[in-house]
Amino acid sequence: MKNPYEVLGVDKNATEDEIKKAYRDLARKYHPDNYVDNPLSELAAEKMKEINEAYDKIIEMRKSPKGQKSGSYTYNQNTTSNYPDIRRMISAGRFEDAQQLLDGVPIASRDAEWYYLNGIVAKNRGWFDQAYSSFSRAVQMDPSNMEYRQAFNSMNHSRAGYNPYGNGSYRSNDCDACNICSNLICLDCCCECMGGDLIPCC
Amino acid sequence: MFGYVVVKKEEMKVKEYDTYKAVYCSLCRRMHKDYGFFSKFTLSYDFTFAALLYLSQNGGCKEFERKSCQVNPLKKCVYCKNDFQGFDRVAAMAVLLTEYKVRDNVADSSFLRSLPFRLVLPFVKGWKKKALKKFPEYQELLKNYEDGQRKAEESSEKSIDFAAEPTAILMKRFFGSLSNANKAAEYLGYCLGKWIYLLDAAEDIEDDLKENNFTPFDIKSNDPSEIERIRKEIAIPNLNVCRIEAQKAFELLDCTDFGEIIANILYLGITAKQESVLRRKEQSEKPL
Repeated sequence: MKNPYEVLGVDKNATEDEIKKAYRDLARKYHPDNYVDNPLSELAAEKMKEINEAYDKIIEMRKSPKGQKSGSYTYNQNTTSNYPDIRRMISAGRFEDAQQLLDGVPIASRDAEWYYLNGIVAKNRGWFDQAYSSFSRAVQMDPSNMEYRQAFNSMNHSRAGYNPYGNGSYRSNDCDACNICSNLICLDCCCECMGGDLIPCC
Repeated sequence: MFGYVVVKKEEMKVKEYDTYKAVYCSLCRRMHKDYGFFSKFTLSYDFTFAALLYLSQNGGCKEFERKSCQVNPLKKCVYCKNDFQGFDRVAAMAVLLTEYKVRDNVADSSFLRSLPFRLVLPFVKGWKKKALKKFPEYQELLKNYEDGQRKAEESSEKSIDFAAEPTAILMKRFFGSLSNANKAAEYLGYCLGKWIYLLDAAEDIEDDLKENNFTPFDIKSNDPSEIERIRKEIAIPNLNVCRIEAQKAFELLDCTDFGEIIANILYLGITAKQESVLRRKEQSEKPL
């Protein structure tokens, strides 16, 4: 395994705060939510795994007397669905097959979840306009569903030209609603990594 | 291509800008060597980006040398010392796309309008032959691009994604060929290709409507306010997504060198370019 300090980009003698900050910044960047509907999601997941392992290793090596819990973040998958086969194919990266199954559903039966999954497949193919229309429709049909709303919001962020997880030196320093919201979501994720839960419904 | 994929010079370190210029000049010299004096006028910043990508995945350029400029012999330029196969590939793609553009212009325009293109056609055909001899696999890439482009323009269905797809796929495969089929580089190519196509289309809406040319936008009238609405509500959001996705792809690319320059282009350069191109259109087309 690569040197864990190298993976996190910190010095061997870095303080615990510096290590935590480095981990948080990297986790923000490569968080699975950022790549959930992106064809590079596997690469991002690998990177995330590498970062988690490195962080765990460093914490273990420097075990404090308080005995900190391992900080890896595990992504919880949605369990109930009308289209489990399609979701399985999407997870396996089989987007053409998923699209075929989606096309096979008669137009009259296409519900909010259908539009959401259609959007996911479209986004993974790079068909961003179609993905936006599909996510829009899904949220319209089922406004209370957080999964669809998250995808729609993420798309809207990108459409507004906003990349909250982008390269640090080029990130905009505007303090606006988007910034606050995404910071809270990140804070919640990091809190969950440490064993807590800032926002229970996220 | 169009010269949209540019740096933001003001935000670059001087040494980074010098390195960027060296890559541009090296590409120019390569084209002169492979395809002759006039071929280098087809070089654009977009291809310089491709060369940067290649170098970032293949160990970069460690040594530079000073020699006379190929266009202005009184000027001294800095060049990359070694010959890179990647530069050959970029030069080849540059002339191949030029040949397609010239041929396309000859086919689509009236005789008089296309006259200058008709005159250069035999020369660019010679370039194409040479390029395909070196990289025969590019033949299929180009053919798929041309066929896809034609199908999209003949289709009655107005879909931005469908229209941009051939360019996106071409760039995806091209970047793949420069990076040993690296998935992140391919996705970067896809998104950047799409961005370039859409920016060109968004810039040309008025001209396309006037000359009854194909536009990927579902636009019903010549009314300037309608055109402005299409730009604001359809073109710009899609351009933004392409840009952000390209940035995400770049984040997953391990760059041995030139990462900072590429980051400058993807985060600052193309953002500024998109804004300036579309703002210029907005101002020039405003009713008096």
